[in-house]
Amino acid sequence: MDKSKNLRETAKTLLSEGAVKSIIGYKKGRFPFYLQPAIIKDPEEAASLVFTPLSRQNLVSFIKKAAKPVGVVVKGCDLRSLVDLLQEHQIGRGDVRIIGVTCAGVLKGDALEHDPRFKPAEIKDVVEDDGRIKVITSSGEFEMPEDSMMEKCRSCSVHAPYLYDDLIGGGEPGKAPGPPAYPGVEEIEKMTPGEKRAFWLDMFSRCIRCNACRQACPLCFCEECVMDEAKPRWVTAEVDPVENLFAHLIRIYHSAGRCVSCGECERACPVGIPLSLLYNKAAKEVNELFGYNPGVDPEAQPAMLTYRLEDPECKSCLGGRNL
Amino acid sequence: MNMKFLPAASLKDWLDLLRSHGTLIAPVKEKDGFIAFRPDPDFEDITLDYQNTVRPIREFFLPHSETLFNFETVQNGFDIERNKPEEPLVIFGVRLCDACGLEALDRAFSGKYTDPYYTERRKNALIISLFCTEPHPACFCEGVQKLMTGPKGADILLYPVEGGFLADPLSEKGDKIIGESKKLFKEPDAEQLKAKDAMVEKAVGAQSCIVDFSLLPEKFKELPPSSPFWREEGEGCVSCGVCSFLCPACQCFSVQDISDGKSGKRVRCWATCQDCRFAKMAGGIDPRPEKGERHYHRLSHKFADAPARNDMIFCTGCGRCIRYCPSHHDVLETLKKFLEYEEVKP
Amino acid sequence: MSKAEEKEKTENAEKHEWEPKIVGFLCRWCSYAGADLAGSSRIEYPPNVRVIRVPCSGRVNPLHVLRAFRKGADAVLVAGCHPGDCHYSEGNYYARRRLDVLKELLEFIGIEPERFRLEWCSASEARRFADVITEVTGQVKKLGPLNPKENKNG
Repeated sequence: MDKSKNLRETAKTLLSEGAVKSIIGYKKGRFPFYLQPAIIKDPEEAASLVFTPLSRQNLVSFIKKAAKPVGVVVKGCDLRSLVDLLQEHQIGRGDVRIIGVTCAGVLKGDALEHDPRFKPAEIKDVVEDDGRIKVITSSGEFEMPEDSMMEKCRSCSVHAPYLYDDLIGGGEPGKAPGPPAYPGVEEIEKMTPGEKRAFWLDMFSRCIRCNACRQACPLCFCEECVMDEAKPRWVTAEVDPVENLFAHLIRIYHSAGRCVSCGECERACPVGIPLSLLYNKAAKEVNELFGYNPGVDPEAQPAMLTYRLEDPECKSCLGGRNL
Repeated sequence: MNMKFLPAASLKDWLDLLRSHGTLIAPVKEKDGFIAFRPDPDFEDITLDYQNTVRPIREFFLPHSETLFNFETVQNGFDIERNKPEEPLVIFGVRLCDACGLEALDRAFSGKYTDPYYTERRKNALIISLFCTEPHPACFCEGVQKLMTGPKGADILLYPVEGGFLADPLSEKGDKIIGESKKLFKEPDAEQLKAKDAMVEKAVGAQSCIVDFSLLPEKFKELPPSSPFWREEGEGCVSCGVCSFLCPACQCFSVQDISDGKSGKRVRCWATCQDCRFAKMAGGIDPRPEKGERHYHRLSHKFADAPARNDMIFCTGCGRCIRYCPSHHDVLETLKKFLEYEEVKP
Repeated sequence: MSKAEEKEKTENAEKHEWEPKIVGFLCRWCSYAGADLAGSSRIEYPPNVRVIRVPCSGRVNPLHVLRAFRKGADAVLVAGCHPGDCHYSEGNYYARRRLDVLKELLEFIGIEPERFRLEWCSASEARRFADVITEVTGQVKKLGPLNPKENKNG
C-alpha cells in the first residue's frame, strides 16, 4: 500500500471535515535526500505530504505550538513521546489526532552522503519497497543495507503504532512495546572510569552548545530551561568539555524516566556526539531499578514523579549495615 | 602574481616549512569519521578526503568562548589582566566558503569598529584554501559570492590536479610565502592549467542557485517581520542554533562574567538569533518573540542590512544551514518564496 | 594507569598533603542532628566534609550534586532519615529513586562509584555518621583528586 497516498487522503478528509485545524507531517523540499516538517492548515496542502524512509524527524516537538486540535503523523517510536506528553498533561487527548504510520525503519542522517555507490547529487528518490529501503539514482537503483538505518530501528519493537486515531500503511495494529535494547550502552559500561572520562570529554569537546539536542527534544517543554537560568547560573555558556558534559548531564538527568529513546537529540546534533548512549543508560537504569518503561501507558505516572516503599536501596547505601 | 605547481610529494616538506610561521591547523579525520580542523596534526593524520568540515574555521578567529580578561578584586577596585596574544595561525585546507566568511568577519570586527582580539589573530594568520572539486548539492557559493570563479579571503588557493597542486597566490602575503619556498614549487604546464579550468567549470555546474540576491534588500523593506509569510516560514523551525553556529559568516556574541565573587573572568561566547531569549530585554520586552520573526531577523541581516552597511552579503553559500538543520530548512527555498510572495491586502 | 604513574600520583599527593574535599548534604532532621551529636559526643572523624544543611534529603536536586562535583568536590555525600522515618513522610523515598539513577549516570561518565554516596543516618547514630565519613574519606584518598587539571571556575 502506498503510505504517502493513504496519508494524503486521510489528511485531506480530516482538514476538510474540520476534525483538525492543522496537521503536522513530512514534505519534500528541493533535495530528494531530505524531508522537511510540513505544518498544513488547508485541505489542498495535503497533497504535499509524504512518508518515506527519510521521515526521521520526531514531529511531536511541534505539537505544543500548533493550532489545536492538531493531527500529527507519528511512527511507533514517536508515539511514545506523545504518550509521555499526555502523561504529563502537556496536551489533552482531545486536542490531538494521532495519525499513526507503520514504519519499516528510517535512514541514518549521513547514510546517503557516505554511500560509496552513488553521490548525493545523483539521488532522485528514496522509497520503501516491501520493508526494504531503495534509493533511486540517475545511475540505477540501490538497496540500502540494514546498518544504514538508525540504531533504534534495528532493534525496533514498535513498527506499528499501538495507539492511534488513524492508521496509515495498514497491517495489524502494534502492541505496547517492551523496553528497548539500549544499543551500545554495555560497551561503555565495560570501560574503566578513566577511559569513560576520556571518551566523554573527547566527545564533548566537539559540542558547540547550539542546543539543537534540547530544542529538537519533544519532551523538553520547560518555559525556562535550567541551562539558561542566569540566577543562579547553573551552567555557563562557555564551551569547555567539562562544562559541556555537565550541561548535558543536567538534561539527561531531567529526562530520566521520561525519555523514550527516540534518538531525536542525537539526530539533531550536528557534530555527531553519541547522545543516545547517555539517554539510553538512564532509561536502562530506570527500567532495571523500578521496572518502568516510559511512553507506553498514558495513565501511568512517570518514574521520577513517584516512589514505592520496596524500591531498591541505592547501591552506595549501606542500608543499615554496620560498618 | 603567478600560479605555481606543487608536486604532491613536496606537500609534507612545504607544510613543515609552514609550521615555522605559526601553529599549523589542518583537517583531521577522527575515529568515528568526524572531520574537524585540529591544531598541530601529524602529516599522516591530515586528510584531504572531505567535502567540508562541519565546523567552519571561524572558531579560530572568533572562538566560541574566549576569555577577554581575568579580574581580581583588590583594595579600592579591580586588577585586570588581559589574555596574552597567541601564536600566529597557519590554516591549511580551508574551503573557499569558509575563507570568504572571514571577509565578512573582517567587516564586523576590523572595520569601522576594531576588535583587538579578532584583528590580531586575523592579521597574523595565513589561510591556505583547497579548491572544492565536488560541491554538495546544497552548496551555492558561486551563486551568492562567485567564489569558484573569483576566490577571496584566502592567501593561497590550491587546485588539486594530477600529481600535485596548482598554487594560486591570492594575496601579497601568499605570494611571499610561495616565494620563500621556491625550491619546492615548479612552473605549471599548459595541461595543468587546462585541467584547472575544467575543474572550475565542473564545480560551477554542480551548483544551483535559485535566488536573485540583488532583489532581496528592497523586498525586505516591503514585508515586516510580523507578516504572515514569516510566521508560516518559522513554523517548522525548532529554534536551535545550528544554522548560526555553523555559519562561517555569523558573528553574534554575548558576554558573561564568570566569577566566584572575588575573582573571575569575562568571557565572550557565541550567541544565536534563533534562540528565544536573543532579543529579550530587561522589563520583559521582546521585539522578536516568534520563530518566524527571528528568521526574518537572521536573513534580513545577512541579505539586506549587510550589503547596505558593509557592501557584502553575509552568506557564503556553504550550505551548512541546510544540511545540518534538524528540520532541513532550506534558506534558498525560503528566499525564493519570499521574493514571489504577495501580501494579500484586506 | 601504569604503576609508575600511580606511584608518582601517590607521592605527589603525599608531598602536597592532598586532602579530599567532600560535600555533605545532610537532612536537617536526622543526619545533621547525627553529625551534631557526633561533635558533642567528641567522636573523632576526618575534617574533610563540608556540610550543607538541607530540609530533607528529598530537597537535594541532582543538580546540586553535579554542581558540587563541577566546583571541585572530590566526593559527595547525601544523608537523610532512614526510609519510613522522613519528617515529611516520603521525601527520602523520592531522594532514593533520584539519586539511585544519578549514581549510575555518574558512574557511566567515569566518576567512580566511591565518590558518590547516599546514606541513611538518624539523629542518634553519631557513631555511624563518623564511620561513614571516615570510610568515604579513606576511599577517596585512595582514588586521588577528581580531574586534577580541571577548570574550577564557574
